[in-house]
Amino acid sequence: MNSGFQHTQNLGFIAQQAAIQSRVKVGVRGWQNATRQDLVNFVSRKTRIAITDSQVQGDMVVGFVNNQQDADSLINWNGVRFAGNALKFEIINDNGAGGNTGTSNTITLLKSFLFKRYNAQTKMMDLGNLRNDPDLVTNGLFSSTSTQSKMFPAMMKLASKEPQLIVESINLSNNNLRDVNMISSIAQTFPNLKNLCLANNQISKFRSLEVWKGKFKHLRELLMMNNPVTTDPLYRTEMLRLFPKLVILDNVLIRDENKLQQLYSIPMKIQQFFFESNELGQSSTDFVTNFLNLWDTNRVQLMGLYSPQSQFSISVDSSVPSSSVSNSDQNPTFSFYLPLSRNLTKVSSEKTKQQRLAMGQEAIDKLFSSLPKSKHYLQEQPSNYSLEAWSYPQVQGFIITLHGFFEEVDKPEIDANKGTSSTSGGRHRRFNHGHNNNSLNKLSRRSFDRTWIIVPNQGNVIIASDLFTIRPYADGSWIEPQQPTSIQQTATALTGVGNIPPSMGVQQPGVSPQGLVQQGLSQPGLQQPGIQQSNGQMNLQPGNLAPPAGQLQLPPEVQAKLNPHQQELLNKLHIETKLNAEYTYMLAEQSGWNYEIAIKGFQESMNNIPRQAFI
Amino acid sequence: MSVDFNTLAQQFTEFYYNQFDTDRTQLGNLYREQSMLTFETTQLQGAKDIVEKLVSLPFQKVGHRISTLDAQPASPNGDVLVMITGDLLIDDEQNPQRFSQVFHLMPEGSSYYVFNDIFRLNYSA
Repeated sequence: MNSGFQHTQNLGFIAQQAAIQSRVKVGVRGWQNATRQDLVNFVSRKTRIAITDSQVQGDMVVGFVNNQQDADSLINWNGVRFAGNALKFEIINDNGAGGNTGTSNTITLLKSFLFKRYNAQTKMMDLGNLRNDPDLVTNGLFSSTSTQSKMFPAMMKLASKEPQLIVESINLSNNNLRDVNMISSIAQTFPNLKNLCLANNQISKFRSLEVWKGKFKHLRELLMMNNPVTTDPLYRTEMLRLFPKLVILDNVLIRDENKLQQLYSIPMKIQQFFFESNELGQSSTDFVTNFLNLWDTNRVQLMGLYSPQSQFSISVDSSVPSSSVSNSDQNPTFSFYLPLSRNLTKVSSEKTKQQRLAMGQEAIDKLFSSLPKSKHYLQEQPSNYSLEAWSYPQVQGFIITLHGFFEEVDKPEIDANKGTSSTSGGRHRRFNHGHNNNSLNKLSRRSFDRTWIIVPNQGNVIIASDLFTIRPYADGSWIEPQQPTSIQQTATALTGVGNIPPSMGVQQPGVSPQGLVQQGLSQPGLQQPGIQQSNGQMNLQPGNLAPPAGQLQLPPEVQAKLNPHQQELLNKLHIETKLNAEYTYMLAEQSGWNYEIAIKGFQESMNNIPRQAFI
Repeated sequence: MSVDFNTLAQQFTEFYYNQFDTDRTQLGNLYREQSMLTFETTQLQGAKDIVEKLVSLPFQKVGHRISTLDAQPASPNGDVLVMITGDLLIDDEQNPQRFSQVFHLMPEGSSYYVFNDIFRLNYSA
């Protein structure tokens, strides 16, 4: 594990920090005939003064010498010849421009303090134990709470104007902090902070950390040891909630970083949702895959996707499938779920309705823990799952509905039938009799429908709503074996009357046997070129897509990758534009498989299309 | 929230399926031009096309029997997401079809319309 704070236990590091505190920034001009490294080597040899952390800034090499004495000595070497030039040394105070002398002095002081406390190698800003810093104490800064509360934000403001300060880690230990109000601006100055140490302070309330919620999008490690708040039983959950990317808390691994990475790799190119049809399909599949993976292995890790306003509820459809339904559970029991079910057709008490709608991470986490542990088979048996995704333009988000099944593998962490729960009032009580009977708590296979509303939130995504319906297991209708049929026949079958009674539109020629079919894109032009393309198991059988005679003929390898929507779109475009197969395909692809965009693009560029592009 | 989304969901569901089962040609009032219906693998936009589709479904007599109904506010704007599972009883068929349906209801003045309607048959008997 790569901890940004592993050095803090290291004496050598502390010594180094002490040395950094007294160092002085210097600049050298007239060095251009050689390299920066040559210059540093030369100065070291000639003057016995080492310039560290040097870098080129404009026409100067800027670096640090150990202390003021070295800096003064260096100035005495002004004019020394190096590579054919006279070198000019200067001490850099990084003085802010303008202002009265007092302010200017303070700025200088704070700035030099910042550089003193900064380690470019470790990209660490050590702001630990500020009130005992000799420079700050001497100058009366940080001596009282009121000056501290002014000085810290001022310092952060200065830091934000120093591009040299590349800070990944900040140490704020030993500052007697009761909350983070004084230091909250580090979130604005260093939004990409990876490691933060707040150990040995007096922080006692989660509420005081709330100002940072969603602010540190990359915070990976947090050290809070020796703060009263760490003894709170909700400490870990709250930290997971506040810092969605947090992996290490107080030297303990609390999230699986790889899974986290996957979860947040959903492409959220919001503007493109309406044009780039692939985006929504692919991101929905990715989302569902990653979500179910964590759902099955470690549900608490999903908390980063929920916000305090997020909602989750389950409902149980306990009606037994007809005995004629193949592979269906004829003897389902739902004792784990019924006390949690928010099925509004069964729950009449307003209080119960409210109680069973989990809002915020804490309540959602508890409800997650009250559901049996499960295993989904999305990867192994994709044909048993069906997915619909459609855009939700009002909030720039999208909604995904998934149908499928899971296997219960273990009883829930929290048994809703036991403990103090007296809240399962309403009419569900009658289902709960004998809930201690083990036979009623048997683990089994369930079918489900689940709907998520997913909205963008400061570069990440948040699940705003999560509705989960659990049903007795039954094979899904979307996996019925189908006769290969043409696209045109599909169209008539779906709108035709009476030719496939009584199963209505269940027969979906041309779209089975792939299971995870992208179905429900609601915006015109969001027709998906196939979620099934993302999974080798879900390839269409070529026979299903053989175009009827007279339609667009594409090479078989291209044909095989098309879904029915794409095929339909190609045929439409082909007829409308009279373009040949190759150009029709190019047009469709460039439009993001959107008919309107394709036609518009065609009309706009018609004069530039070569003659041979047409049939 | 001024509108109780639970009550809204229940009233809407009751009204919708009642209307569907008695005279589905009248469902157009519940949809708008921007409304979308996703019916199995077909997608339709606009009240007119949606109702046409629903009317064209290959059955005369139809009855919906609701098993579960759950609802959540979909955003702070007052829209509501309703998820339903139930049985679809078609003509004189004894064994029902099992469906799930999601409605995304949008506020409009003092009432609501269906912004998205996603219908899915889960299995058939």
